[in-house]
Amino acid sequence: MYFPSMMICVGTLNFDLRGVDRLPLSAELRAGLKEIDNAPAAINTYRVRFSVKPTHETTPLFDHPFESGVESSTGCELCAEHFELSVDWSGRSIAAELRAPSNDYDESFIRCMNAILSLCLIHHQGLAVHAASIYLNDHAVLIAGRSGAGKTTLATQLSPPCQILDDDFSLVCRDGGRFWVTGSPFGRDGRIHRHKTVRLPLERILFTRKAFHADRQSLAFSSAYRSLARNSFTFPALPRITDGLLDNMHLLCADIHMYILHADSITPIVDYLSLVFQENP
Amino acid sequence: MNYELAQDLTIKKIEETIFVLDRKNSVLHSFNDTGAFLWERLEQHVAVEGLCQMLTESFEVSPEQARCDISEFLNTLEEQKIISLRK
Repeated sequence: MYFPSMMICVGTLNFDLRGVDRLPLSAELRAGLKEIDNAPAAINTYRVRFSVKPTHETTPLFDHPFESGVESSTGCELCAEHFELSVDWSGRSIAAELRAPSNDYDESFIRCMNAILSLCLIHHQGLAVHAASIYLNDHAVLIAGRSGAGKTTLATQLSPPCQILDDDFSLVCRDGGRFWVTGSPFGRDGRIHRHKTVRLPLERILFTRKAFHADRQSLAFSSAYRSLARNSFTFPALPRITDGLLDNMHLLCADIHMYILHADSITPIVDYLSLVFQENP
Repeated sequence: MNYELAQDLTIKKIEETIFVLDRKNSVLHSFNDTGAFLWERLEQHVAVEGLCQMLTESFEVSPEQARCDISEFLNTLEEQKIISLRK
């Protein structure tokens, strides 16, 4: 199979992927890539050139996905366990070198694409959030929470009638003065999810907490900001990108209603979400 | 006695709240109005004695209370490694 250059579209971003044909990816992943929406939706097109770095033994220094990074006014370089990125913002070009510590280039490719998506979103007033996203009647809600908080369970319980955009990693982008949400087509299961490129207006963000009681509180700005920060993907080594991320969080907190849901079981949350979607038929 | 701020911080003031992101440890701190007042003075390299006087004047608290609050505030920031005593 031969891909000299392939265009994919995610939210407000387009990626012109080059060199994918030379990557040692599985036939299933290659076929999945071809399924992703390839109609350019916006003018934000990035050229991504892939290459493979020889595999060597690596020991992650931190839990954080990036081991190191440097940046300048026009770009940045990031080093992670599975890939290295060199980003030129002015030329909108990205060089990606993959390595495969577990000899699985599919995993490295998917991690790399999700990192690229996160980075580019921050550059365009968006952000990637560790949250499930569900939708009904063209309105999307993010359900954020720490690992084990029940995001996936909740999303699955609500579907149907809701549909799941993503059960773990949601992409929020700003376009035309409002926020939109889409799922990453690059799933943690190592597969491509074509349907996740659907883009829907973001209605509200819910943070779930396990408790012995059930209640719902609207979050004040500073609490919303802190909660969002805990669930956003950051790039600690890079001040400019972090600065951009905090600015985007500010915009999002000013625009979108955020709530914290305490619940001792899934029922109150399901009931509340049913109400939310009834308000936006 | 002077304190200095850690290197890897990104600081945002939104309305009356100051947010300090410790990029090294990926932790976001936020300060209420009193905390924000003190943090801004720390950024201006005001010594602890100066902080006491400023807090007493601006927030109508006794010097003893101000010293107690400031000590608690600085200890917390030191524990979080976002400030350290200037050598």
